[in-house]
Amino acid sequence: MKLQEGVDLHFIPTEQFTTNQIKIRFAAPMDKESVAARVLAANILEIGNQLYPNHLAFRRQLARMYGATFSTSVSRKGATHLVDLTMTYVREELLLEKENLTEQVLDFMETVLMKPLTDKAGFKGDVFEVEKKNLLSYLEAEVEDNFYHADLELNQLFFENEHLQISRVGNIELVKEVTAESAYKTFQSMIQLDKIDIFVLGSVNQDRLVERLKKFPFSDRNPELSYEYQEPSSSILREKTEKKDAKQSILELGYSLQILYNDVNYPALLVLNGMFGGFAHSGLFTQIREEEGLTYTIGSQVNIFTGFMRVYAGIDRANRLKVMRAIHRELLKIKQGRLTEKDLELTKNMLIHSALIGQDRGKNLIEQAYHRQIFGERYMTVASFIEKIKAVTLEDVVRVAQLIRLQAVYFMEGVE
Amino acid sequence: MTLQEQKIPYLKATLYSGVLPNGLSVFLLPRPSFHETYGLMTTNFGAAHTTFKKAGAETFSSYPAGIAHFLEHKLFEGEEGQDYLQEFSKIGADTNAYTSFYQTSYLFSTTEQVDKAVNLLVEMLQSAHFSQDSIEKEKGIIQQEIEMYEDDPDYRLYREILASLYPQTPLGEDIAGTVESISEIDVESLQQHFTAFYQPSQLTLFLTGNFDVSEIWQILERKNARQVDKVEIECKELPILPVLPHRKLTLEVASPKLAVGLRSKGGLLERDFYHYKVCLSLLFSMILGWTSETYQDLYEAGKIDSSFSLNLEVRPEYQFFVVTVDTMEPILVSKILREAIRKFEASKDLHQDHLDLVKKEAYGDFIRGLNSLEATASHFIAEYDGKTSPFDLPDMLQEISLADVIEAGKRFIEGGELTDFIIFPK
Repeated sequence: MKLQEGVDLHFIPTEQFTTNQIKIRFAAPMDKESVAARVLAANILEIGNQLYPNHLAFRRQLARMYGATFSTSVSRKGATHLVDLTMTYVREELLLEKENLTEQVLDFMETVLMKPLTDKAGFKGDVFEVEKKNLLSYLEAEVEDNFYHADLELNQLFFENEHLQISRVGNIELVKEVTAESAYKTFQSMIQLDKIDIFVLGSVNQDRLVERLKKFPFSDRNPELSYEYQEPSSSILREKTEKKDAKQSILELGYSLQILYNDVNYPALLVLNGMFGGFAHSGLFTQIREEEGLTYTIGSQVNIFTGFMRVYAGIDRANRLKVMRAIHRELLKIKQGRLTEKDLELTKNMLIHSALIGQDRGKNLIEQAYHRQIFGERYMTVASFIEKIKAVTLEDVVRVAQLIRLQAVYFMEGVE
Repeated sequence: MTLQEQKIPYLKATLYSGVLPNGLSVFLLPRPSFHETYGLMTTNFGAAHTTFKKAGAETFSSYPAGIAHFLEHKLFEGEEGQDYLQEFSKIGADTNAYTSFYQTSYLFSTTEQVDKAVNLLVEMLQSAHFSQDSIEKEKGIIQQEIEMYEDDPDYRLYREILASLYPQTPLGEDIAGTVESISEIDVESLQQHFTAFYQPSQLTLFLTGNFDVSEIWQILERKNARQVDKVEIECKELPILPVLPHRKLTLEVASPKLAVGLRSKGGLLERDFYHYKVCLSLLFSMILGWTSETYQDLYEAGKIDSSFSLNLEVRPEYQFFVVTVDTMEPILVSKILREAIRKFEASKDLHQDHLDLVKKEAYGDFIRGLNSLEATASHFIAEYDGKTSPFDLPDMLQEISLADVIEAGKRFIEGGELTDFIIFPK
């Protein structure tokens, strides 16, 4: 239901879970000018506010609400940047004493959003500096997680669009530029201009909740957002190799897809990804790991909202060419239709299994509600997803394979 | 053979349990509102058990570090060379396995054909088939796995602090072993481990989700009807050598990483140690957790960040507590933490109101964990001490007093040995 222009409320009633979940999502265009400030603002909201001014008071209030959790997170959907505030809390009938926990949780969220730690025209200086320092060390520590580092490097190679080259949490240079004032200004614009979606999952008194949320001072807004991005396909393969102090080397390949969410090729693409590297019966896993013993970690994944398929493998550096050739061979098998009906059936079963299991996870149910909101008639229900997956044929998979094009190769050579 | 029932009011559910004629222990927890069914089968044998003998035998035999984890990989290989991973895929189910110091666990997750999935899991752990060829190939895969772990500085930090607390024991080694140690593994050593530790009487099955109790129980009874003579296995106690003082290492990391560890003087615990563990985890939440002034002071001074984490292990064979954190002042922070642990009774945070607060939080955390079948199953299997049901936690929390918590703390900390390990940036 619409609370204001650009502010929507979604109820997801269910008795399945022991906790309720409330999520407030802010959406704005992915922009290298604002991404670092949005991340810092989100981090500061987690530290305290005028009512609970430090970490201790903040955490104690959460503990008092039966260990309610409060978290902020950032993500990207296509060319849109999302900042989420999420709280989960025990359902009221499971409390040891009678309390109106939903109300307390909403009070808490309103305080977080409307009474942040500020002085004059910015976030409170000392708090801001601690969080800025923490974010910078987090970004510096990125270098410690080799697979994550390789993911970021591949993104930079793959995307030509400068806003998409940047990770959802920004980068060191961008964070350094943010001040307590600029972060606060960005935060104000989130509150005033971002598209807002509020999700309430679980069992609550809906009327009371609507009344309470109407008191949040959100005004009308109408941002232009794009949830799908397609990198223009290029005939030039972009490559990068770097050396790093590590025992294991990492090879990543990026393919462009030219396929959109829920278009005619989408179900076959998911099947293709499953047969190629998405599951334990896939070509990459059974051949390169199990048959040839060349790797422990290998797989492929699709991000439909950025039109992108990633292949990743942790390998011994001496095997770089061998593994690269083996990956090409497995994709070629699909392009040439050297597939079995049995593998097709396995893949469909696994995709359907994942879709059904997704119905047991609150997080997924919220994401589905969001997709329904942003894609409207293009939204694919779980029932129609299952039906469409079942209908995929081997010919469909082979046809879709022809659309996939290798665009970028990143190799991190581990040297000691 | 009848099933025992435990009512779980806060889940509006019933936990059924029984022991089959061959000795397999079974726990069944239906959750009909879920689409998923999750099965977990575990042996109480893991990376720490590398030296053992048949009860009554004269000498212990020792095996290479990492053998439990190696066996975990190889049990997926069936009698005719078929791969159980693929057998689960055929019925649309996911499967996986993991090894800890004291347990090895195998699992599946499915949304249909629960009967077939249960049969596959039980069958997979009832016989072993190895060939030297396939063992050699597995060594290549596990080598990659070991190197991946070694490249993770946080994992390395945790492993090194354990190596300081328990020198020259498997606790100080990677769970997967080393490239050298696994090179010694062969058909014979794997077979001996399998025979010793996968007897039905050493296995526990926990099944939860959307299934029919009586149907599954009948299937299990048919499959496990034959009585099996149990061979008692005796594992050698871990040698307790002096704790190694301050060790350090340099690696490619952004900021220094500190681990502070306490080895309790402990000694072997009786079976019913769950209550003791809960008291201790409340104690450490109070004196060092998010709601403590010690944490607040360090955080506000910019000395620690949210990487701060508390790890408590209480097993019959070993008991330790480890704090890990990224900090620019590792030597100072280590001193503060060691002092806070050693002098816990003087902590400003140790009082009744704070206990009530962390109990409320612990209750909420526990209730939240029940939303995931996987978390429910793995929590039960990891915490079940053979006597107290982990589902009794809400009642237990209500009864625990401040005196209980302090007494547990004294028992755990007094006479224990503290040390630290620091990773410095290059």
